Amino acid sequence: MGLKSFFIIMAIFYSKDSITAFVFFLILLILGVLCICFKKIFLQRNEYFVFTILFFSIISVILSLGIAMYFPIWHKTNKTLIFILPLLPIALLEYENLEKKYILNKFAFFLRGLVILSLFKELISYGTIFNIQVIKNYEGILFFDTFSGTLILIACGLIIYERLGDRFANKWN
Amino acid sequence: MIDLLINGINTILANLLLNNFIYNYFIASDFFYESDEEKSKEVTINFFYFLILTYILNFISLKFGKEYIRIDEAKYLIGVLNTILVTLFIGKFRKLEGRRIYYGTSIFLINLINPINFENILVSSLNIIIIPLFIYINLIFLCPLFNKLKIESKKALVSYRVIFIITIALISLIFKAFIGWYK
Repeated sequence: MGLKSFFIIMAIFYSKDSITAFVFFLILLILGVLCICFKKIFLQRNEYFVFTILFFSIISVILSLGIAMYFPIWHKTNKTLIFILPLLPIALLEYENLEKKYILNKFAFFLRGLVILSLFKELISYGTIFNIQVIKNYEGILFFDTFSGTLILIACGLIIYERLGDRFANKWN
Repeated sequence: MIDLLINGINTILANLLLNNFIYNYFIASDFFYESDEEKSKEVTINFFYFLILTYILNFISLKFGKEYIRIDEAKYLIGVLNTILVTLFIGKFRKLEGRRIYYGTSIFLINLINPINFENILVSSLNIIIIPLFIYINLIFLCPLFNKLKIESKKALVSYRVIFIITIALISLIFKAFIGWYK
């Protein structure tokens, strides 16, 4: 499971609305940067695997308890959101032998993709962004809010990535 | 006998239509997309063992700790610990060829999405049988079919993974059409 699979799964479950995606973007950004910067501690296949998973699951429990205290309604609808975090170091294991700069760029690219997808999805299905009406008198294509609609959007995103991803990759290096 | 048959068909239908089965299938097959196609039989059997053992462990730990474990957070932590335990246990008996982490993650995701239902054990335990079966069909029939569809040029027009995602989207759309009928 590389970063691509990880973000496909993220996009399926957590692109319901742009607020959720944005909150998740911030959490993932902080933990991802932490994980990549301390690569020698977190991304060691044999020695620290159990430690890494436990560390990340404890962080996710603390985070979820905090969210449950201050944002109880949001927490009720997004219960599993935080618990997906222990999978992040596993997804990053594929890149353990690569340079930090390259991994950071790739991670940021997929993260941006997740947020753009959720924004586009909300806009196309309800005509809103962050629950603010952008397009007036728009009934919305509710098909894209379902599981199959999201998958088709992901497929479109992957086609764009495969066609234009190389150009971005050249820019990174 | 006929009642039992009808009940069985009902549970399978409920599993396919209502219980997020396609999500599970997608996660598992996305993992298998990256795994070796030639050793499909071994991989499926390993996956089957993983599913059974984690399910039993989760079931026992949650059943006995029902009075003590009341927060969802604790349940998920137990899920993580059980997955690690099973991965370490199976790794000693079967050759996982460096893929134990990926088995663990996909199993954890499946358990996360489909939590154990104490009231209807049959529905939740059906996943154990159906998911490996679907994966086997996927590896035997779908993969070669998609490989034949590839255009023989330097770069295929659309990659195999994209076709696969679109296929699952269409299948789930067809299932969704039957929900009203099923209810």
